[in-house]
Amino acid sequence: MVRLITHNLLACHVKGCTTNNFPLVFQDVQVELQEAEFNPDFIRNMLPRLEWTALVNAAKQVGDTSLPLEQPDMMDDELLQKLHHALMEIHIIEGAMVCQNCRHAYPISNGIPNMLLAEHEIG
Amino acid sequence: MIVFVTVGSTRFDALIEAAISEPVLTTLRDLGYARLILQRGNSIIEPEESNRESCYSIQRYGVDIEIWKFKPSIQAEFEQADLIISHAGSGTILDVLRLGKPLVVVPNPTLLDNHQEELASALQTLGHLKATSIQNLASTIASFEPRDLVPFPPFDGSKFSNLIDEEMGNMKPVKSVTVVDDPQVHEDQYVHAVYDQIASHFSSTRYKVRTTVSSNLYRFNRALQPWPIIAKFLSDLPTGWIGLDSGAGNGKYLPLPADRPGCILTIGLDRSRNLLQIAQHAGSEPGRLITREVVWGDVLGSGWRSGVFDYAISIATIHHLASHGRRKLAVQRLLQAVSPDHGRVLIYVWAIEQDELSKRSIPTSDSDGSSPHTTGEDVFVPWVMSRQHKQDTPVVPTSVAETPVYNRYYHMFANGELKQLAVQAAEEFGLVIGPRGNVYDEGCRGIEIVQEGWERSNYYVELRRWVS
Ligand SMILES: [Zn+2]
Repeated sequence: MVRLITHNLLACHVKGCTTNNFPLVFQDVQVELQEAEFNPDFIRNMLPRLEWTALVNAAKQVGDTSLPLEQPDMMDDELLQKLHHALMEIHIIEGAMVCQNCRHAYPISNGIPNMLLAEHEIG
Repeated sequence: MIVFVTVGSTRFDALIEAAISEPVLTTLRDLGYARLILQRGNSIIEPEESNRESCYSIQRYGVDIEIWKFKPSIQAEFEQADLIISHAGSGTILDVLRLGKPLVVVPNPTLLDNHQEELASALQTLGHLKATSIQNLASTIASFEPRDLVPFPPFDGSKFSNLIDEEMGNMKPVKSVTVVDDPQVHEDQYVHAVYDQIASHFSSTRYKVRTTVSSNLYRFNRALQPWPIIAKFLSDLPTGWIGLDSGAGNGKYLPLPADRPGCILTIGLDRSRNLLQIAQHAGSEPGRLITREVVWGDVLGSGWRSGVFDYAISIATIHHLASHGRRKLAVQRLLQAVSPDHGRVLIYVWAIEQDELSKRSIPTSDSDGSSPHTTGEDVFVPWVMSRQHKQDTPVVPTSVAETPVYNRYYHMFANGELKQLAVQAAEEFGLVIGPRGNVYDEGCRGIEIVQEGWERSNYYVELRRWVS
């Protein structure tokens, strides 16, 4: 599945595409909500791995505008809940993720993103 | 009627205790079993003094019970019994099924490094026996319908090993092969195409329900138990860590750790989209759909931010790459994926040195087979559709062969080869090999080999990145 937590890790890996290859931008996405168990410790500890601005923008692209633009210093329970929802409960089922640098589109179908490259694109 | 209970020579106190407990005995009595013969093996039984006896009899809840440490002729006991209750040892299971006797097995949950539960689940899925737990033993016996069991086919050796091959990731006898094609073309034909075939078999042919998680699919997933070292590696990781399972297959490691589900997040990457469709719901149960993060990709790709993962595992994957250079690159992709500061990597590959259970013969280039291997062996491992599968409509009808055989390519690693590969990959990646010490300049990057070894036909190595 592509949830925003995964989206925040993925980057374009087309041969030679090494700058501005993150974050990928969602295109024509279909979204499905699935409840997931809230684990505040997981969210709190995991957060330093994420790029905040990329997350906020990606969340907007899939219709979630609940996150503040700047990463707050204090993580209260309400914010952790919002992060949990944005990161763990929004599933991108169909669509694509497009590289802003080389325009390569990584399709998403049945919730599975296709990060395979054609032979000539492999670095 | 007679019921025979055995734990072989193992110690399984809980099963012995359950077998002579009130709920089980009254259930048996109500079903018409007047005699219970029990082989306790090395189990300890209450009261303590009874363990000194090699055999004694008691009567409880209207059932005559004979308790033996070891029954002299166990084959005769199987033959005269109307029902057998056993631990899930493969020898006992095989003996009983070959006699066509109704069998209820209880895998010993305290055995970690053991195939018992996966074997029991696999055979239950095929309808040959009933698998249950200590807690449910009485209710299982009460509802058990021996007539519903699928007779075990006449023993030809292949059924059992096929089963082990398919359900447990073990192998049938293999044949030597030389990679002559381009390695990538070779992998396309002998790895990717085969796994897609195997996966579509499990997800669509044998298990027809695709839209929801069928209970069979759940059983298939559950039948594959994690290996102890892998389970421990994952369960030792701190809460909040994110990892990559590079070559995730059907996703058996994605739900781990079992004792702290959801405390870490493992993202599954695989070349087979069909396998990913199974992996996507790994660990789900009927009525409780769980969705995993899976990515369709190549283990030689790098479609993520460098160093973004805290850990990476590569289980039974790198041995499918058809050249040394590609295997080395796969290791480098793992090193690149994890944090330079604390990233952990665990790699498993198949070994030339195989364990006893699988009893496969590995062809070697040594004429007498006595000298140690150093470079590994390229082999084909046939995957054969078993009888049960063929009763369904095949996904891809094969024109010639009646029993489709798919050759899977493996590079079986020699002793020391995996460590050598990891060291070479790390050095060329610019890492110092060894524990983090004070001898290095600030900012020096390195990798420590935390552990390496052989476990059940596989070599493994665990690496940890560091920055001084
Ligand atoms: Zn790009």
